[in-house]
Amino acid sequence: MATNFAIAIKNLSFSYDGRTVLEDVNLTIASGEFATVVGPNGGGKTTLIKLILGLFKPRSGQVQVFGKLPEAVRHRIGYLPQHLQLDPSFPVTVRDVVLMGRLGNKRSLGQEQHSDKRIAQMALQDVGLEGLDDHPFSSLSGGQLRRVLIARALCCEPDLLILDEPTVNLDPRAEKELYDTLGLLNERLTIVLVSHDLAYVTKFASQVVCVKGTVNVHPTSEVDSEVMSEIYGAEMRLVRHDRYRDNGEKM
Amino acid sequence: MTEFLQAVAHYSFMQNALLAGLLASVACGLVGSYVVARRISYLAGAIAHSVLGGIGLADYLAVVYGWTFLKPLYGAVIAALAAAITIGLVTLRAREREDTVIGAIWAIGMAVGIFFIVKTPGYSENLMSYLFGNILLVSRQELWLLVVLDIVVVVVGILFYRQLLAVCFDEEFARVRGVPVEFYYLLLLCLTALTVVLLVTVVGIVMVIALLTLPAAVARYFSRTLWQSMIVATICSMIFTFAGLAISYRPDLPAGATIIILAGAVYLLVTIGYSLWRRRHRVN
Repeated sequence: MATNFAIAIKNLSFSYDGRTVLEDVNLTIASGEFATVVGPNGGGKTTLIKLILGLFKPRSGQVQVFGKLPEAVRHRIGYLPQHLQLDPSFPVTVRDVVLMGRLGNKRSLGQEQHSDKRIAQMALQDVGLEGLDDHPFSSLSGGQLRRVLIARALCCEPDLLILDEPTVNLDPRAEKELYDTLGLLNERLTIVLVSHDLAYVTKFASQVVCVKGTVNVHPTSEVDSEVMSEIYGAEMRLVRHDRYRDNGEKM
Repeated sequence: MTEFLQAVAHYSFMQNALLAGLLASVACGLVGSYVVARRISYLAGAIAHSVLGGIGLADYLAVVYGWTFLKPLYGAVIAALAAAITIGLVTLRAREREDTVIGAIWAIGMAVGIFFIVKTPGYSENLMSYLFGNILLVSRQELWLLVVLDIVVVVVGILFYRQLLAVCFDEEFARVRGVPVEFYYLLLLCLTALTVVLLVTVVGIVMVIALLTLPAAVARYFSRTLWQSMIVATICSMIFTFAGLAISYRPDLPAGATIIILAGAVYLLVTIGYSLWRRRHRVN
């Protein structure tokens, strides 16, 4: 596989508790892309993300990130999990949360370095929350909370940013602001965004990855009502799926 | 109060009691904050109750087989650590049966303890003091063990603060950052186990969860970060144990129970006060 791909997945299958979740997945995402992962609930979106992060192991096939196994390049990935598992009343400040992104970057016991604080500050600037360092995590609004978690992911100084449903429960304005921020970040990072909502995404995304047991890829320009209904199953209509070879050419 | 202070000045058992309380408070504030933040007080309860199994077995071996080197407190440490690691592995590996297994460890630990305590020849009045606390019976020798436990808990808890914080806050993210999440989770449970042993000497097995969690729960209202919560919880716990001992001394009340009632009352007042204060702030 060529190494100028941020993500390259080949013939991947994955099953969980004996149930096949993903089958025969082939997917490449080039460096610098803004890819959106869409699909119905239970279709395997989050599973695909966890395979890319190396948190799950494929049953067969392979996943490469920057040409290597995911575990080997985890430090280059910034990750925003579905935040719903977090305890919003946890006693931490915004700075503490963002600094968690520095973990694993060096072998330090306990104390963070001065440079870490600077990187954390820059990450907060990137998401438009400068000056909020000392605020308690519990005092943030939904939109701010998501931004803080993105800042934490940026604090890893990643080359690839993976966000799992960052816009759930956000009002339309906060959602739009978030996508504007991501659009700016895409100038220097590869972004993979899981969403069940295509409305804003198509403005920025260069590639739409549809996950529903297996994976189909659409260039954003082709996402129309037909593709939408194919993804969400509102109506049954035939849709042409582009399959890509490893080198990115259409088959 | 003056009577209490005179007693502390004159009687070594009162000094030992006070020292044990203050030592336990430090570990309690530090580990209690982790436990409350990570919401594992139920696990701490199971660890506490399995301690009785270790105490009972150690006592039995000491009396029946003459293993006098095996003090009940050593048995408590071993049983607490064994329970912590078992519970840790169960919660990591078999999430769907978690509550069943934890409930079982809770009860089996107690059953083993009662079994051996009853089968041990001689007095079994110790059972009550282990269950409800025997702070006035803490010996110099036990005090030294408490010092060692305290140092271990505090040093490890502070040294790995960032890692433990990250694991408590967001396990999955920590894993992606290459933090060995399972290791730190087990480490946290082992720290909890050692803290539980410290607290058992103060308030007894049955009331450990309250002293472990109430100071940290009070502290959360007054702290923005976990380390602030640790400091406030330590101070709260020291006040509770000191005041509990002082109040219980003259009327000859059970010290452990007094400490817990005091802690519970303060927690209740702070919670009510906080919600009233918030309501008022919202109206204005």
